[in-house]
Amino acid sequence: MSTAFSFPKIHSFPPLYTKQPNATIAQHQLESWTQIVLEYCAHYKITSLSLAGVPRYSQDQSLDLDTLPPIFDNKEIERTVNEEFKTTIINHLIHKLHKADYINPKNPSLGIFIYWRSLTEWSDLLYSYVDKSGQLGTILTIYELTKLEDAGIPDNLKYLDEELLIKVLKEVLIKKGKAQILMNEDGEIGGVKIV
Amino acid sequence: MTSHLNIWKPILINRSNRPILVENEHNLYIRDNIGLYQGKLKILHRQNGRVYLTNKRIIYFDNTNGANSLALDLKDVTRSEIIDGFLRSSPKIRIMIKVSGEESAQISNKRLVWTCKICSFNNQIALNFDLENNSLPKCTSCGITANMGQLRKVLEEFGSADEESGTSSIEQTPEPDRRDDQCPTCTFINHPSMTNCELCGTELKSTIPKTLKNKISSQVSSGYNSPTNGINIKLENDLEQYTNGKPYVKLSFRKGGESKFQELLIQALDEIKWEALKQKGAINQNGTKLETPAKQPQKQLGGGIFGLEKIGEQQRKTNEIILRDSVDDLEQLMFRFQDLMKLSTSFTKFINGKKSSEVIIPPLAISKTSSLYHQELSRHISEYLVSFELTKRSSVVTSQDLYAKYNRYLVLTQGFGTELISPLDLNRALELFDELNLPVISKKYEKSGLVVLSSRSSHVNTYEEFILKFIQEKEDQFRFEKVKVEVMGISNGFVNSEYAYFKGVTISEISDKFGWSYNITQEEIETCVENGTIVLDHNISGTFYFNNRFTNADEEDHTEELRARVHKQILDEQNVISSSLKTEYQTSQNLINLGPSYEFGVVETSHQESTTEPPVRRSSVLHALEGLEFN
Repeated sequence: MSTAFSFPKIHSFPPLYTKQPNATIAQHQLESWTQIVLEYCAHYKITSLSLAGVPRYSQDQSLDLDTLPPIFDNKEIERTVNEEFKTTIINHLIHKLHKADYINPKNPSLGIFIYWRSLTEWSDLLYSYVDKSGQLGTILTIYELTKLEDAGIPDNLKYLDEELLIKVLKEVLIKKGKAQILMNEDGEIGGVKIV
Repeated sequence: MTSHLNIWKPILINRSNRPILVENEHNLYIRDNIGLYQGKLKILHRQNGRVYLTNKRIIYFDNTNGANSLALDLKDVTRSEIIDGFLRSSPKIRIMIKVSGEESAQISNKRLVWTCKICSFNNQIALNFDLENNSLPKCTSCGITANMGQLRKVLEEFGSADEESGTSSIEQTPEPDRRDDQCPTCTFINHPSMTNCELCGTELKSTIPKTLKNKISSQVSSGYNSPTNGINIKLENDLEQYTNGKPYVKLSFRKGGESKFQELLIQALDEIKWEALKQKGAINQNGTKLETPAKQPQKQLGGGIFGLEKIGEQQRKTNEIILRDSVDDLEQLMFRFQDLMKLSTSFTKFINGKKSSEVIIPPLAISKTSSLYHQELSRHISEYLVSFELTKRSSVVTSQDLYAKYNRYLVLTQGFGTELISPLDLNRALELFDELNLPVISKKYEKSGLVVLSSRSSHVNTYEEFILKFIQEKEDQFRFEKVKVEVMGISNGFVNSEYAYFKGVTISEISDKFGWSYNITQEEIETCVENGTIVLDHNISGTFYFNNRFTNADEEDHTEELRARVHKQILDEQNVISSSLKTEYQTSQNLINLGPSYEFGVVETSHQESTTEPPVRRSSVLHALEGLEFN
């Protein structure tokens, strides 16, 4: 169980919520915002957000996502980031910093993954866990990988978003030739083999 | 050859440079730009003047020197005629003068008498009456025409008598015993004051005693009849020259108006002759002069070029009348102008009130048409700016504001009659600032084209530093207030929303602070935003400006320091309040006595300690001070 995220001081600076006309300042402003978003997500272990900035999934099962303080709002100073600026911030995260990605590029409205930990880092964590637990070469289900109780899954990986896990497997481990995905009859992922 | 220059008489002039008219005299016509000629020659120094035609005189008033003015009695005039202008020669009126001199005057005055055959009234006839050419005279009593033969006889009789004696048969045959007042014709003895015989109407010899007569004549001669030396008339050539040997003068109408003059002159002359006739008694009491029918305005004069010309002339005449009348009014106004100016400046002190400034800039005393006008104006404006507008380092004023303020200043200092400057003149003057190296500099914002003026010595390209400093001050003040509110534990809706966070500054706040116009602030803020030193917060309640916190590292927290300052200030305030309460208590004993041992104004030791204590406890201590209110 974690404590509430303390926003940086700049979060209470009213001009942060208005897109600055000066390009240099706007750049700094975006950096501030992306930093806030990443820190916020890392703090609550949130791996995906909706396009409006509402948390979609957190590894921390004890969290009630609805009660978390919103990222883009500040009730104290009565400021909210407007939709347009939100889009700018998200685009900045995705395209400039590569710290986020659409969950489904064909359907952006589904939301985005926030890579406060990069895919490679995730894959390393996963690989080292499987390696340490001596399960290399065995076929494991998704459930066994992340959600199985009393299996010694490190906190980092526990309750990792299934979609993100598949993305990590597909985009990193399979490309490296270190994993295989086995499909069942229904066309769903039946198991994963990491070698 | 006798000189006829003595027909000109001097005149009296009043202070407003108009001739003083004699009794029963009135103006008929006035015309400007007229020159005088005696005979063929110009009269020197009388070539540019006004001519007043009155019912008694023709008065020439010299425009250049009023002392050169002179007049001509209409009594001395026989007739007048127009000489049309030709090429460069102006139209003139030739005025024939009666041949003066004793002899001719007597002859012209002499009259022969013929007796009407019907009513036996003694009619008079001029001595030189021309029987061949003139129609025969009628008896003034019964109106029967005289008989030609009878008249000839009378004339011939007189002629022969004249030849014989060399003197007039009538006047020059006085009998020794005849009294002066006895009628030479009918021997009736008249009253000495009569000029004509009461019975037969014959002209009587003057009955005035000789001494009196001499006296009058000497007076008259000294007043009017003096020769030319009184008025000092000089001709172009020393000799007077007249065509046909008859004396005349000419009026040269350099600007026209001769026909009207001629018309009125003839009327006046007729009037005088009529009066003369009346005085001679040659007219019946009920006799009326045959009035020449008033000329109808000749509107339908047929077609052709002549008709058109006539119409044009009439049009010009009407225009002339209208113009003259209207210009009269204008002249009246101009006449009153000085008075109006005085009046308006007399109100100035009420407008100004006591707000008379220490610096007084002398008004600009240069004509607008002068080539130096704009330079002088530029200097004057610059002086005004330096003295009144650009008093601070951060002072800036827009050209629009300057225009309004400068003109208002002119009115305030010089009264309502001041000529204000036009925007065009202002712009010209502003352009000259650099050229004249004046202490004021003008600057144009590229984006909006706004022109602002600032002091050259303190000129900076942007006013960024002022704005940044101001925002910083505001923020510091806000923090201080916030801490103060916290320390004092005040909590209500207003305070909570007011001190929730620093709301930034608006353009109007900045404008107020520096006395800039809104436009200037906007321009400057935009520059700052472009430079990245100021960031903006645009929300539903407006646009607010902040110092840039994105790039600058978060400054260290001054909260503790602020708390200390707040404590100190609160303590000071408290001391002031309690000491004033104490004095109030001492002066009026009506205050409730809180306790015999309680001393106002004495700060308890716990206060001193409390400065270092945490604020929460501090505020509770303050609350303990009952009866005190903090604002």
